[in-house]
Amino acid sequence: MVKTGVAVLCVILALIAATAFYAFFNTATTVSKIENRTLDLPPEYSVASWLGHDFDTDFDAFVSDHVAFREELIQITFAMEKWVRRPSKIRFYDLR
Amino acid sequence: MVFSSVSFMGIFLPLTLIVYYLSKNRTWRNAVLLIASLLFYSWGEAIYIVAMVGVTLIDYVFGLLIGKSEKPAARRGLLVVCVILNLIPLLTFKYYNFFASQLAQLLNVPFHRLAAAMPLGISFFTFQSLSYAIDVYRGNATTQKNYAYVLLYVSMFPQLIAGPIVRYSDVELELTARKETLENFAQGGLRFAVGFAKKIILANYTGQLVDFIISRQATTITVSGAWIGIVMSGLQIYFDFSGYSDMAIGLGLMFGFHFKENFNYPYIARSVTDFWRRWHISMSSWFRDYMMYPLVRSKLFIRFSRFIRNRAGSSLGNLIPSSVAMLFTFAMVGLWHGAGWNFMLWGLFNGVLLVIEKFLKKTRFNLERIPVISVLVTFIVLRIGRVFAECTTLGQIGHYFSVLFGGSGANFALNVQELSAVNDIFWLIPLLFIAMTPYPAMLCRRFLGKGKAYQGLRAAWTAVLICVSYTLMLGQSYNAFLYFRF
Repeated sequence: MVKTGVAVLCVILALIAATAFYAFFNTATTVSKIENRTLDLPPEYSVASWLGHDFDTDFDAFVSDHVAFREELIQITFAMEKWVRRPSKIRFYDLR
Repeated sequence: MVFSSVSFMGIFLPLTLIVYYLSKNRTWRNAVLLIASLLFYSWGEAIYIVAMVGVTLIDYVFGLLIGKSEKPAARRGLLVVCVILNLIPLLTFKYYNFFASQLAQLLNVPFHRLAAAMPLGISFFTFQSLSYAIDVYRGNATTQKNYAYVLLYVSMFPQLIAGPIVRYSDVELELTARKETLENFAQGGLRFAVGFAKKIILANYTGQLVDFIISRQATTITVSGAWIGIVMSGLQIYFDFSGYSDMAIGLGLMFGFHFKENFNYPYIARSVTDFWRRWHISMSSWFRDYMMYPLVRSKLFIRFSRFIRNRAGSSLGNLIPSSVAMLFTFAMVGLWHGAGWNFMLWGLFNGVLLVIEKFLKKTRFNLERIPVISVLVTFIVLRIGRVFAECTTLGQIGHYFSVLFGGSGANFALNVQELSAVNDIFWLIPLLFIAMTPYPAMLCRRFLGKGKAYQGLRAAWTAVLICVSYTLMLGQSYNAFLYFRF
C-alpha cells in the first residue's frame, strides 16, 4: 500500500510537471479569453535580467500563464468559488 | 522561488526529485541537493547568494578554528569575532535604514538611505549558520571539515527561506548517512500536500479579508470589523507559516531528512507561556538557547541578580532578573521579525504578558487550570497584540486600538463592505477553527491507526489536496508568503 501511495504521488507530480512543461510549447496563445487579458510572453535571458530579479519574475509569470488546461482549471476554480460563496441565507441588519 | 508556484511544483521539484533519485551514491545525491538549493535561492536573489555563501563560509572557518583551539579564552575570542562577522550583513541589510534614520532624526542630521534590498531569508540563514559555530564552541556539534556539508546544511532549499531554523546537531548524521524510504516519501508527500492546502485554501482566502480590513482601517473600519480583522489575521499568519513549515518538513522527508516540528497547535494554548512553546518553536528555542540562557548566565547578569536579591529579598530577587532577561529577549524577538518600533512593541507586549503570567503563577490566580476559558483568554489577548505587528506606524496602532475598544467614533456593527468581505469567506470560517485544533488528526489516528486503511486514505488525501490546491493556485492572484519578509 505504501508503494501505491508513492506511485499516486509520483503520477500527480508527473501530471503537474507535464502541464508546466507544456508552457514551453504553448507560446502561440497570447490572450486569455476568460480573464480578458494579454498573457505574459517568454522572457529573454540575460545576465542583467537574471541578476536584476526580472528574469525569474517574468519566467514564473510566463509558465503560470501558459500552463496546460489553464483556462479549464481557472473555470473550475471560479465554479468552486461560486459554489462555496453562493448567497448565504444569513441576513444582516443595521443596528444603528 | 516560492513553493506555491507553477515553476516550483511543475518544474523545479519534479526535476530535482528525478535527478536526486537517479543519483546512486550519497555524495552525488548531496551534490544534487546542494546545486538545486543554490539554484532555488538564486531564483530571485541571484546577487545575495554571495551573502548566504559568505555567512556560511565565516561559520565554517570559525568552526574549524574553534575546534582546533584548546585555550578557553581563545575559543571565546574566536566565537565573539564570529558572531560579530555574522551579524554585520544582517545589521546592514535589515536594520541599518531603521536605526540610522532614527539616529539622524534624533541628531537632526541628513540620512542617506541604503538602497539595497534585504536578502531573502537573511534572518533565518544567519541564525541557522551561527548556531553551527556556537554549537561547535559549546561542544554540542562536531567540527565539520568539509565546507560543502556546512553549505548544504544552511542552504537546503526546503528550509532555507522561512525555516524551520534547523540545528546542525539535528541533521549532522543525516547529511552523511540518511536513508530515503518509500514510507518517508509517502509521509513527506502528505505533509507537503497538507501544507500546500493550508497555504492555498486556508491562508490565501483569509488573507483577502485581512488585507481588505487592515488596509482600509485608517478610514471606515468598525468595531466588529477591527475585531474580525485581528482574529482573522492571526489565523492567516498561522496557516500561512505553519503551511510553509509543513511543506518544508514534508520536502525534507522526501529527501530523507527529519526536521523538527515548528508548530504544535498554538491556538489551543492555555497561556502565553504555553503559546510560545507551541508557536514557531525553532525560533523561540533559538532565542532561548542562544540568547536568553547565555544572558542569564553571564557574569554581569549574575552580579545584577545578586544586587537585586540583596535589595528586594529572595522571592523578588529571582523574579525581577528573569523578567528583565525575558523582556530583553522578547524585544529582540520583535526586532527579528522586522526593523520597526511596531515590531519591538509587539515583542515587548509578549514579554510583558509572560512576566505577568510569571507573577500570577506565584499567586493563587492561575487561569491555566480552567480549560476552555484559558484558551479563549490567551487567544484574545494575543490577537490584541497582533495590532502591533499589523499596523506599521504608531499613529495607526493608536487608531486601531481606539477602534477596537469603541473609540474614534467607530460604529459597532459591520458596514456593508465589511459584510460583503466576510460573506465571501463565510464558508471558510468553520474550516479555519476546526483545522487549528488537533482533533482532525486525532480522529484520523483513532479510526484508521497505521494500517492499510490509513495508507490508502493517505494516498487519496494527498492526491485530492494537491489537485484541488494546484487548481485553486492557478486562479488566485493573492499568493505571498508572509514570513518571506523576515
